[in-house]
Amino acid sequence: MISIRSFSKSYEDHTAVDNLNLEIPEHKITGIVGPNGAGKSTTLKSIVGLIKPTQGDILINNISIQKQPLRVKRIIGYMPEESAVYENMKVDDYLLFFASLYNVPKETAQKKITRLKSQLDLKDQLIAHLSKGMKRKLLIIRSLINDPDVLVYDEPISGIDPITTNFLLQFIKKLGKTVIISAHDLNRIEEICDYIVILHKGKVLSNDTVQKTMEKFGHTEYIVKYAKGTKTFTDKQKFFEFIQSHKILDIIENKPSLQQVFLERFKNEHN
Amino acid sequence: MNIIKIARKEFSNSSVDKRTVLIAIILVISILFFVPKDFNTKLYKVGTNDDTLLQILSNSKAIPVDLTTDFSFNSSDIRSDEPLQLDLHSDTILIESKINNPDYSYIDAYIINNGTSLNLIYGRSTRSKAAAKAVIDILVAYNEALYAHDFIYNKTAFNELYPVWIEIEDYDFRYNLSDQRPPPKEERMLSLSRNFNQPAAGIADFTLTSDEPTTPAKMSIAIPFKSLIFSLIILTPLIFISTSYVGSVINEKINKKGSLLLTAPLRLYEIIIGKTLPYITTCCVISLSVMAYLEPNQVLKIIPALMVIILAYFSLSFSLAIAARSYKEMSFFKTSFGSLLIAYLLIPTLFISITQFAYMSPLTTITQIMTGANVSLQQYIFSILPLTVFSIILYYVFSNLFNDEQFANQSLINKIINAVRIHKPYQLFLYSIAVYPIAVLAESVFLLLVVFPSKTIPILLLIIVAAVVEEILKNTGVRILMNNRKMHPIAAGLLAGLGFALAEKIILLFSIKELVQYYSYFIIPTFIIPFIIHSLTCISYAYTKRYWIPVLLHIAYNITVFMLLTQ
Repeated sequence: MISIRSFSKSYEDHTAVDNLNLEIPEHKITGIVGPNGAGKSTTLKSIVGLIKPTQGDILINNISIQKQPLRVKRIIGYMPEESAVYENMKVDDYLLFFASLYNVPKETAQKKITRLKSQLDLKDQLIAHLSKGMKRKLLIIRSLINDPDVLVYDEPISGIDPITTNFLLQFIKKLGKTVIISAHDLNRIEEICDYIVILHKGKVLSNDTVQKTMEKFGHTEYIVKYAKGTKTFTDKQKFFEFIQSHKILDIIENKPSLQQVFLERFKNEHN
Repeated sequence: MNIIKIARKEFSNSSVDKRTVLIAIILVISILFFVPKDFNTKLYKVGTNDDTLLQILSNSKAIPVDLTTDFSFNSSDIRSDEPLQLDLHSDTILIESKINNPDYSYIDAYIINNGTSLNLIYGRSTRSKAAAKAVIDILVAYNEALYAHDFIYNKTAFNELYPVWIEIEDYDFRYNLSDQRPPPKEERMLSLSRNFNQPAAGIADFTLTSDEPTTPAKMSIAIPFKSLIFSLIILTPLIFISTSYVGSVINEKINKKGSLLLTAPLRLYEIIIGKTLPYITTCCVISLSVMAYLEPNQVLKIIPALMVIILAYFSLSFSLAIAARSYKEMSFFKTSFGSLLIAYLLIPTLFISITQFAYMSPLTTITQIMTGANVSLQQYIFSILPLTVFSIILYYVFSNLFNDEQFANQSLINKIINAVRIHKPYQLFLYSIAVYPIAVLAESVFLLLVVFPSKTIPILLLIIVAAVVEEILKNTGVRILMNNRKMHPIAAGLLAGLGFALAEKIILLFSIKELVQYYSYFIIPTFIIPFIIHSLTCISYAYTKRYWIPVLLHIAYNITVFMLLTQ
């Protein structure tokens, strides 16, 4: 479990994250969303020890990242936003190198690499020759090389085609690990997330299940077809009143997606 | 263990193609093993039938000549129409022009004693002519040595040959600054002139300070050619390999490849050392191999100085890679600051015969050791200490910036302030001591680049540069401490001033031993006053948080001292 306690991160001219308190449940997938500058990447990087908190602490399985960074790093698998890989290495060499840093025995690592490569349809070749989607697959394998308890994925599906995105998300879902994930394509992460945390200006705006989050922020649309035509309702009360007093031909319930909720909530942010 | 893992990865992931590396290694090994050490000697085959000449030519190491007596001479070999004589008692040497005997055509030149004269015989080829010239050079040098001997011990007709004598005195400043005092000049002159009966007619009171007199034709400016060669052997691989190192570090930073290493269970020092080790090792192996090949007996002595040079260059390269925000900026930094460091290392080696301060560069120490000169422990430490401190500070400060947070485009000053961790008063004191060598380095580079070429000391410029460098370094420490904790400005200023003044005096005393005695008499002006002025400038900064105020105070103090000294 990830426990973020009173976590703040300030820079000279601004505060990226302001007194964040979060509990990320075990063996669930939690999505972190928010507009640019909300503090998503800062939070994720702090969880993996790349950024030091100005205040507060982050505990992974009750171990403080500040006090015992090496112990925490052993039980975390991280995938950065950028596909920053050593282009001159071959896939297997790259993965074996990271396995060695986590003290995974070479034989075990080799078996694991072979299995994961086969699952993700990746071949041993020069990394420079891999496509962007392939590099994301490589980074996912790298994040799993030490069999971590917690996976932290920063924008794992950015810039890759829908087929690969779908494939990767389903793969992540099947892992059954504690996963914290950030993404801009909210429609896609909605499919795999159990919980959604919405960050806004360094603060938590919402932390709930996907369903409850959408109920909280989204408005279901009811499109009613009746004898005289079609009418759309967003107000549940008025909708019920209408269907009781009219002869209805058809009703379409249009639930908002996470993306629509997000756009509705932050429609003024761009300005 | 992790260091080795990263080092291995660094080596295998090098941007240099492995085949290129392999070919380079094979080439170096080939040069070392297949090219004979004395490849520039024994270029010519020269034959003679004269025992005396054989001895003269074989004793000479200056000219590439390989002697052979594997021939018999027949007077018919010399064309009678062009017999020319070789006269050893004159600078004019006459040269024969033909080799007629086809049996000895493999000999480039030979000298035949036909009982009445010596004949130098050579062919018309360039090689043959060069061989003849080499022989003449050896014989002229021998003549001069003979004359010199004759001059010192017998004083015969030599003075008539060379009626004008110039005394050249080589004054060795090193004797002033160490315990190895030379005999007084009078004694040295006496030892050379004790066999003289009286000065030759027409030449009044001539003296000799050199062991061996020479003629103007043989005199030349002492170009430290060997020093330059040794310097280049060290600097060339350093420049090339450090470029690759910089590329690797900046790649981790700009492309954020380092993020994954930083999230692995590794300590920061393991990452930095692991990344640096392959490059430093390669540099050391190349430089030491070549040095060992050239001077195997001296190579162990140069290792500490060589390590300091490599460490300094790599620490600077690492710091610049961390400081730069783009590859373009990196190229600019590497070219400009790299050149300054090379100037600091290289220029002093040229002034070894002039000033003790040439030892401020460890390269001077290396070239001196490699050329067989004695370097005292004091000189050795003086040459490596400032750069060692400089390198350690650079690695310490910029290693702290090797993290994902600092990879972002912050200003360099903010980055450095984040990296230098001064939280307690004693840390400010230690910081002030530690940064003094950096101030010395910066001022020395300025001296080398401005003062030496211009030959005059632009005192005012020197005063300003010294004040700016010292005040920025000192007061950055004050600024960091006061950012991190509440402290009275006077206390902070006093701590910084004390540390800096102490370091200043320790280094001065260490470099010039004679000052110890001087200091015991003048302790107040030489320590107390600098301590007060350094403290005052720091206090002024602590109150105002403006760098220009302590700089102005420092300049005013320096000008006052200068004016007092020149009155």
